Amino acid sequence: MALLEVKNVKKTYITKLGGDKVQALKDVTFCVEKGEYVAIMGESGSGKTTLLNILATLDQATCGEVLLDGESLKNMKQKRLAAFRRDNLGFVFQDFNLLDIFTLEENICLPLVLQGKKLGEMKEQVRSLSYRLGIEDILKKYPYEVSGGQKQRASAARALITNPKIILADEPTGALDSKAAAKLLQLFKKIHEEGQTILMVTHSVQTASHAKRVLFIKDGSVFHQIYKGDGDFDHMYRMVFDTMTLLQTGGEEEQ
Amino acid sequence: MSFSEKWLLPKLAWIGIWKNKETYIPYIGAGIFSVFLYFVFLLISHNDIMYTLPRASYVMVLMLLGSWLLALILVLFLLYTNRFLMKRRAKELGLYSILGLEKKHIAILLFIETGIIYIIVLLGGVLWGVVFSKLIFLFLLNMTRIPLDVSFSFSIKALGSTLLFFAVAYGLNLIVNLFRVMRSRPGSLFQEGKKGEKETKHPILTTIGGILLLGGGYFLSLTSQLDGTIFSDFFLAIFFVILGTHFFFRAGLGYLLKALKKRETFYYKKKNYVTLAGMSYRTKKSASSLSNLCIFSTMVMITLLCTISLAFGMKDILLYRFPYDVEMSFLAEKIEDREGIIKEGERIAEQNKISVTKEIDYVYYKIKAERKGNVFLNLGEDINVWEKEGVYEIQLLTEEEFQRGAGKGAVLEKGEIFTFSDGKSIKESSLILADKNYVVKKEYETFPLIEKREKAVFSQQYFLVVKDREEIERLLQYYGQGEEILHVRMCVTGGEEEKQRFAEQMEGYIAKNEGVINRANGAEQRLEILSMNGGLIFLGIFLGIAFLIFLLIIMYYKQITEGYDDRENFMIMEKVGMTDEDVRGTIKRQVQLVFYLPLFLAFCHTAIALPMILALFGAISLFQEKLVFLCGLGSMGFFFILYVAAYHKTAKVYYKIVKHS
Ligand SMILES: Nc1ncnc2c1ncn2[C@@H]1O[C@H](COP(=O)(O)OP(=O)(O)OP(=O)(O)O)[C@@H](O)[C@H]1O
Ligand SMILES: [Mg+2]
Repeated sequence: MALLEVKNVKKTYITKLGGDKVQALKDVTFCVEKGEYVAIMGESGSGKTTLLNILATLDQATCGEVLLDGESLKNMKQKRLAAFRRDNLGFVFQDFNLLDIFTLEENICLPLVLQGKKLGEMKEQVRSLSYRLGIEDILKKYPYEVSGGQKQRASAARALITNPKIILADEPTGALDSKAAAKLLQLFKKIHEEGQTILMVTHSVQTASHAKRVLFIKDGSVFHQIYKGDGDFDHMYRMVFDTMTLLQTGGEEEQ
Repeated sequence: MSFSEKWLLPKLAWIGIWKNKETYIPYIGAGIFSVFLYFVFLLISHNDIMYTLPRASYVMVLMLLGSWLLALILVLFLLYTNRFLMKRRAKELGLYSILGLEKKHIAILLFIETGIIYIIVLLGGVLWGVVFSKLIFLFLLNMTRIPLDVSFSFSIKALGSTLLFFAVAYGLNLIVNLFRVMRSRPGSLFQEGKKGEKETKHPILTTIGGILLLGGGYFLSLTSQLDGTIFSDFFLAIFFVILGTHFFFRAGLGYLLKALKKRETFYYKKKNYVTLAGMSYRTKKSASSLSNLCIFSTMVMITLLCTISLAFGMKDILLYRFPYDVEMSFLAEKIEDREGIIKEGERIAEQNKISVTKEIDYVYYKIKAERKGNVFLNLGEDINVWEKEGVYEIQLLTEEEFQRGAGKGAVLEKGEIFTFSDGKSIKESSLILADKNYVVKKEYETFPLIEKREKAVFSQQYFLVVKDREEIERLLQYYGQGEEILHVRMCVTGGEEEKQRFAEQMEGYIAKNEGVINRANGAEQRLEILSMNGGLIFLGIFLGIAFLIFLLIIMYYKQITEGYDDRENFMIMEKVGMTDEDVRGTIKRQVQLVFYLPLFLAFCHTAIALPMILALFGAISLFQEKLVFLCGLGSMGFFFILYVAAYHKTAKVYYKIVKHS
């Protein structure tokens, strides 16, 4: 059984004014196995964020089903969702979403505090994780005192600290320069190698090529998939690049 | 500057207000309310009627004092609301400056913005004032029992003063804002929205200062006595406590939060985590909210306490001050027919179809002496000195005269005396008068038609009853003064109007007598007191309601501005997995800290203020400690309920804002 199963998910937005319908997702079906590293690509407006939000339980699919570890998100009570998110999912956002009122350490701790963990346990987890992510020296600083790359690593630490079943990242490198982006991707690679399942939305071919598999979305449905297999990075890069070019020049669906 | 540039700044100012509606609407609302209050207050005190009405002068003085107090509080209040506003505007201003507006331009922008707000606020406030002032005025007249048949006129002078006062108040706000803008670098202005507030510069000094000021205020209250300095002490104490509260919260809150955060097992708990971090993120703003909540709560409670005490104590004040309906003093030697006066009183009463219920007449000799322990000394040269400590006015009576008023009682031997004090009891077993020892056979606790109030310190008189004329002669010789005075007091049945008529006719009669020293019309004087105290009660109600509304606005203000500040945080936290339950729990925790802390201190302030309030009440002859104490308890209880209810209401608003994403 796959860790994450997305079955025929559709999403229709009804705009407040005029009642126009926007079909953001038409029919999305795919699976993510445990320990996979998957990137999702697509043009702007193709529905990537929408999809990720549905997976993240921040939004509800109009129809279709999403199963995490065999458990359907659909029938889950609104009240339980937040706790479910906290215990099973980890997020890395494009704009970090760190809280200004907390130091980096406190930000990282937040999910654990919400879980009601013991202090010693928390401290130990933060210590070892921040060491792995190379932010142990800046833990006491506030978000406005550190660089974008450092913020994103802290944000990743916050996502990882609960040992989530899956990490969901929406353009995590979007606000970073290439050096910081590379560093973050290195980090993702490392945690993936340690067995973490990652699902990442990105615009960047470079970023996507780090993943083991790339899903392409066009006009609200899955258009194509590329597996890295045993191929090296450069090979992957070329394949992803070609597919994106095809996608943008309006190529027909190929399977 | 080209034409379009010239209009850029006003346009930006207008857009600034319009786009930040959420923040500006309460700010402007608070301003309109302030103008309304101040304007109505001035309209009433500037009214022509006030100068012509009888007995309105007391009310006028009170209104003047009240308007100063109101002005002071309005300035504080407006500064407080402005502080919230600027914090939210900082980001936008920072953006403008990054986009190329110079500081000069930002200053002009702020100036225009303040101007726009000033105009809106004045228009709104004055309009409301015009609509409602007449109603409030009628209410005042009713409270003070001043005849109602008057017209209420609009006063240009009041309008002028209001315009001027608010120009100054908003000018002050503008200066504070300009100062902040001028001082800051553009980047920092931009960051202001993000960065936590700086810690207080000198925490130890601030704490010590706060404690000293609070201690000073408390000391003044606890040691207060009814003497010449009571009024200045009162204002000084208010000043100390307000400032002290600000200092105390400013530094104390910083300490408290730091200490709580250091106790990690406490801090890293779900219900404390966000609250503590959020509060220390904006310590200054929290502190200023807490101190303002505390101060206004105290004001509401004290005003409430005073107003109810006065309302309930009025009867006792009147009884104490004027227990009779007519009081007359004559030179005894000029009066041949003493009984005639009393008979005439009865006749006049009968004519008016009422009857004399109480009557006392006695002859006494008035002397002054200095008391040292149980010895009464001759004043000598100091005979005209009043202020000197221990100088008492003494009425000397013979036993026979005493019994006319007090009825037959114990009998005096030579060398024995009865004593009575209308204030603090004498409490001596013997007195040395004119170098001779007198045994006090009894100290009376009540005396017909002369009320005793143990706490009274003004106009304290001693009454000494000796055996006979012979003894009195001896004492007069020693103390060297004293005319023989016949004193008559009467009470009649009937309402105040009948009493008034009786007193007038009685006065008409005795005016024919030679040797009238003094006469007093109880009904008339009671009316005067009623009018003054009615003014006080009106002031109490007016200011009490004003303070209460200020308090509610501050509460509401704090909740919504912080709600908008926290909204994003809560959104993020929900994404990270904060459940709705956690959100409620966090808000509840915030309630406990933010709202019970100032309430607790406000209770302290109010309780400590009691001695001073009692002393002040002494000045208007309200000596009922128990009543004041009970009213204090009642006010606190009532306020507590109100506060908690108001809080829960605003907490709901906060929750709605936070959850609305
Ligand atoms: N709340 C909403 N209401 C209405 N329409 C929406 C809403 N959110 C997204 N959409 C629409 O749904 C479509 C998909 O949007 P989505 O944000 O998922 O795109 P995206 O692939 O993430 O784009 P980008 O790469 O620019 O982030 C777009 O056409 C967008 O306009
Ligand atoms: Mg997107």
